[in-house]
Amino acid sequence: MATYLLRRLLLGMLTLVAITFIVYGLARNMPGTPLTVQMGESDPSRKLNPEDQERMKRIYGLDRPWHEGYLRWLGNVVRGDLGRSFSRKQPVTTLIGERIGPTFLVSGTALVLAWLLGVPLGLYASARSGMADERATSLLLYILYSFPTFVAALFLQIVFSVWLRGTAWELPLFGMSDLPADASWAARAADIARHAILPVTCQTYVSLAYDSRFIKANMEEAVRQDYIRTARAKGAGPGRVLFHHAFRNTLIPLVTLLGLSLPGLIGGSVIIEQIFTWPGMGRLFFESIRERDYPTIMGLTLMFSVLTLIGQLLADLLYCLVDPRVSVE
Amino acid sequence: MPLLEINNLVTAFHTPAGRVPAVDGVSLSIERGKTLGLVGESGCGKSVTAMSILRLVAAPGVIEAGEILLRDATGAAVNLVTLAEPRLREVRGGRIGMIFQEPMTSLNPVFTIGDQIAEAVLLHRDVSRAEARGRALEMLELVRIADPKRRLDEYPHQLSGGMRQRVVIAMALACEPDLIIADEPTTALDVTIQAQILDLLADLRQRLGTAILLITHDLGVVAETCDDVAVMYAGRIVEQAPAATIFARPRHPYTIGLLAARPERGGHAGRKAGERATGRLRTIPGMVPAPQNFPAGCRFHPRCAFARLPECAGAMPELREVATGHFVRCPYADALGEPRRLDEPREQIA
Amino acid sequence: MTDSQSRHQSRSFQSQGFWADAWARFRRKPLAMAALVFVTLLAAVALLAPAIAGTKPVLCRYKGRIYAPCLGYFDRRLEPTIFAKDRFRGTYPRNLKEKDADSWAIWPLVFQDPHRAVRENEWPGRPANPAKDEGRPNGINLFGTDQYGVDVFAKMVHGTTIALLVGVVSMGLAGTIGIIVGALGGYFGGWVDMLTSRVTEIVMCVPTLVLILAVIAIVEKPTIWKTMAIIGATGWTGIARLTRGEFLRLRQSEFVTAARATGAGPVRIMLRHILPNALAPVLVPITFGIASAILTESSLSFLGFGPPPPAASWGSLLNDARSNLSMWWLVVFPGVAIFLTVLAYNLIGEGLQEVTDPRLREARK
Repeated sequence: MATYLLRRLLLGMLTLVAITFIVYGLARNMPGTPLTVQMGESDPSRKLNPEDQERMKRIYGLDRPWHEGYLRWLGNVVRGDLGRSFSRKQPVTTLIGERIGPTFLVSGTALVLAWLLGVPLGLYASARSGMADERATSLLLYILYSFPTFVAALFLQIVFSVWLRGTAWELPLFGMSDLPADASWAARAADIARHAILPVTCQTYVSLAYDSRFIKANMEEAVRQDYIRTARAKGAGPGRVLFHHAFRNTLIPLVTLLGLSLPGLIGGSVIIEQIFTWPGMGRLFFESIRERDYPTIMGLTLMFSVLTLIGQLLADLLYCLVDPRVSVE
Repeated sequence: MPLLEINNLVTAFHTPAGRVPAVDGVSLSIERGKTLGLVGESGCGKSVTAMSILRLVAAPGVIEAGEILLRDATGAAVNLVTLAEPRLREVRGGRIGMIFQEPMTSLNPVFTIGDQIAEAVLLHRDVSRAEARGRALEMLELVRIADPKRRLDEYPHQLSGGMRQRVVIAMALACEPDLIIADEPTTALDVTIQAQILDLLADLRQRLGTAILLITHDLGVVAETCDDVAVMYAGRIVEQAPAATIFARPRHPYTIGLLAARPERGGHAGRKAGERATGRLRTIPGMVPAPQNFPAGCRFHPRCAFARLPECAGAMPELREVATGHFVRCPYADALGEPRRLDEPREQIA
Repeated sequence: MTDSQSRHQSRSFQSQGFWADAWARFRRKPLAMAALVFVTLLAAVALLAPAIAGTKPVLCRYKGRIYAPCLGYFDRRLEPTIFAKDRFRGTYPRNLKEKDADSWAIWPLVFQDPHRAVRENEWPGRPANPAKDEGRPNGINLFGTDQYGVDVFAKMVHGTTIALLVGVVSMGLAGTIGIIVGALGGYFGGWVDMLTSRVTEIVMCVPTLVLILAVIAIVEKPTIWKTMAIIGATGWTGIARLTRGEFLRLRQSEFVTAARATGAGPVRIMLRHILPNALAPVLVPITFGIASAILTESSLSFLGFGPPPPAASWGSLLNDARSNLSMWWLVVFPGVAIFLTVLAYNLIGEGLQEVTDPRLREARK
C-alpha cells in the first residue's frame, strides 16, 4: 500500500512538472505581456515608454528566457510560494482563496443535486426499461445531454431576466450579490442564493443527464450478466435483483466518475462563470489568460492538475474499496 | 405421481426476423428422487426448456403454451407457467434449485461466498443472519470444500472453477429443494474436475433424495448418472426411455446416430448401432436446422439415413410408446429397434 | 445458439458482411436515421449556401458572358474580376440592369447577405434591413437581423460550413493522432506503451479549454482552420485509450499470431490485420467527438475566440446576443441549430454503438 502510494506520488509529480512546463511555455509565448496587454487595452495614452517597460520587465522577471522563468517559478512553488498576480497586485494564493468559495457554492450544489436526482432517475430508467414512461424520460435526458450549456444559459437569462422582468419570478442576470457589504447576513445569503439559481441550474442539468444515462447504461450491462440469472434462480425479487445485485456492481464504474468530477468541483466551469459573471475560479482563469497574468495562470493550472491527479488516485482507491477483485498491490 | 410434469411446452423468441420456436411442444416428467438426463446438440432447445421451468427465459423469449406442474409431497400440483410472480419466487431456490453452466460468471463478483449462499437461505426461510450463515457453512461442508470457514468470507474470484461450481451447488441445495436443474454443470470444467462434480451430484442425490434434471450434450455423463434419458432434437423430444434401454436399444435414428458418433469410451451400444469395428467415428451428416427453418414433417428427416420419402416429410410423427416406458417419435421405431436391420440402411428415395 | 452466433459475428468485423449487417440494423433505428438525414441535409445547405442566401447571382449573363459571382462567398478570388472593374461594389441587382440592359441573373432563394446589411432599394422596392433591436423575424428577414442589420438567416446558412467542417476536420485529425498513439502503445507494449500512456495522461490532465485558449492566443491570426487543428490536437486522448485497449486485446488473438507466423511485419499486421477489427469500436468515440468538437468551437466563438470577421460561426452569433438579450432571435435560432447538430451526431454515435457492439446487439435482438 505504502509503496503503491509512493509510486503514484512520484509519477504524479512527474506528470505535474510536465504539465506546468507545457503551460508555462504556452503562456509565455502568447503574444503580448501583462504590461502591454493591460495598460494598452485600458488606455492607450497610458502605454509605458520603453525604459519603464524594461524596468517593469526586470521586476517581473520577464527579461529572461521562459525556461529560466519556469525554473524560478518551480523553485518558488517548492517553497510554497505561487507568486503575485501581475494584474491584481495580490498573492495568487489569496486570489484563489477568494474565488474558491463562490465556485464551490455553485459546483458543489450542482454536484449534490445532480447525484441526488441522477441516481434515482438512472435506476428508475433501468427498472422500467422499454416501457413508455422510461422511453420518454430517456429521450428527455438525451435531449438535455445534447443541449449546450451556454445556449441553455442564454435561454434561461432571456426567460427569467428579460421576459419575466418585474414579476416575482425575475432572477438576476449576473453577478453574485447586489447588496452592499453591510447588509444583514440573512439578506445577503438570500440574495446570493437568488443569484446562484441560474448558474446552478445550468451546471446541474448537464451532469444530471450524464450521470443518469451513465447509471442506466451500466445497470443494463450488469443486468445482462450471468450472476443476475443466478440471483433470480435463487428466488430474489426484481427489486432485490436490481438494487442489491446489479447496483452493487454498477457502483464500481460510478466511483470512477465521482473521482473524475473532483477537479470540476473546485475548478468551476469557465463558460458558466463567464456567462453569469460569477466571481469564481473559471472566470479567474479566463481573465488571467486574457491579461497574460502568468503567475495566476500557472497557479490555477497547478491547482487544477493536482486536483485531477488526486481525483484519479481517489477513484482508483475507491475502486479497490468497492471491487473485491482489485487490490492496491 | 411424477414430481415435475411438463406438458406440451412451447417457448418462442420474438426477434425482428420473426418468431423462433426454440422449444416446440416438449413433454417430460421427472419422478421424485430420480435423475432425468435431457440430451441434445447445442441449439436443440434443452437449455431453453430448463430456463422455462423457472420462467427465467430472457427478454424476447416467451412461454407461449403448455403447462409445467410441480407436485408437493401430498400430490397437490401448481402450474409454474401461470403461477403468480411472488409465489413463483418461493419455488425458485426453494423447491427447485438451479445450477448453471458457467461457474466463472454465475456468482456475483462483489459479494462473499457466504453472503451469496446465506441469501438463498434468507430468501426462503425465516431465520436470522447468523443462522443463515451457519447454514451456509454447513452447505460448504456438504459440497466438500476444504477449509469452509475461511472460504465463507472469500470472494468468487479467489476460488477455482471447480470450487465455484461447488459453491453454486451449495447455493442450489441450501433450502433442500425437491428438484435440482443442472444446465450443463460440467461443460466448462476440466475433465478431472467434471468427474468430481458428477460424483458429488450423485452422492448428494443419494443422501438428500433430490431429483435432478441434468441437461447435457455428453452421453458419457448421462450413462454415469441418469435413471432416465430424454433426447431432444430441433425443439422436440424424439426419444425417452430408461437410461439402460437407450444405450442398449436406441430406437430413434437420431439417438442411434448420436450413440454412433460417440468415441469408444464405454459405448458398446455405439458399435452395435452401426459402426462395425472399422475404427472410424461416425458422424451425423448435415447440420442442426435453425428454428427459423425447421423442415416440415419429421424434423430429422433431411439428415436421417433411414428416411422414407415422401412419408417422413409429410406429417410430424407422434411420440408413441413402443415398449413399456420407451417413447419414440418415429413411425419405423419398431423395425429400427432390431439391431440386425440397422446394418442395412434403407435405400433412400431422393 | 445466440452465443455461438455472436462469437462468429465478432470475429468477422472486417468482413463486408459485418458492415452490411451493421448498416441493415442502423437503418431500422428511426432516430439515428433521422439524425443521419439531418446531417446530410446540413451538408447540402453548407455546399449550396451561396445559392440559398446571398446578394450575388448564382448565375448571370453580363456583357455577353456567363458568370457565377456567388462563388465569391466561398473565396473572394473566385468572384469574377469584371464586376469589381465595373464598380459594382457588391451591389448586383441594380448595376446589372444599368450597365447591361440585356443581362439576366438567377438569384439565390433569399436575397440577404451574411456579411452586411441589405440597403434600401438594393433589391428593387425593398426597405433596408432594420438595425438595433428592431429586426424581429419577418417575411424578409426569416430569422431577424442583428444589431447592425445583418440578416441572421443568411449568417446561419453560411455558418453551416464551419459547423460541419469543425467536426469532421478536427476529429479526422484527432482520430489519426489517437489511433496512431494508441496503436503504437497497444501493439508494442513495454516502454513504448509507458511513454504513449504517459503523454496521453498529461494531455488529459490539462484542462482542454485552457489548452485551446492558450494555443489560440499563441498562433498569429487565428483562422477557423487553426482552431480546428487545435481542437483536433487536444481531443485525441479518449480515442488513443480505446485504440490501445483494442490493440492490446487483438495483439494476442490467433489471427495475429497466424499473420506473424507467415512473416508479416509489424506495420502490415497493425494496418491490415488489427486496424480493420478495431475500427468499429473506435468509430463510436470519433462520432461522439464530432459532437463535442462542434460544441467546443461554438463555446470558443461564444467566448469571443471565434473565426475572424466577416466569417461567422453559430457560436459567434450567440456571442452577439449576450449584450442584446432582448433580441431573443439571436439566441433561439443559432442555439437550436447548435443543439440539433450536436444531438444529431450524438444520435448517430449511439446508433453506431448499438449496431456494432456485439454485446449490445445481442441484448436488443
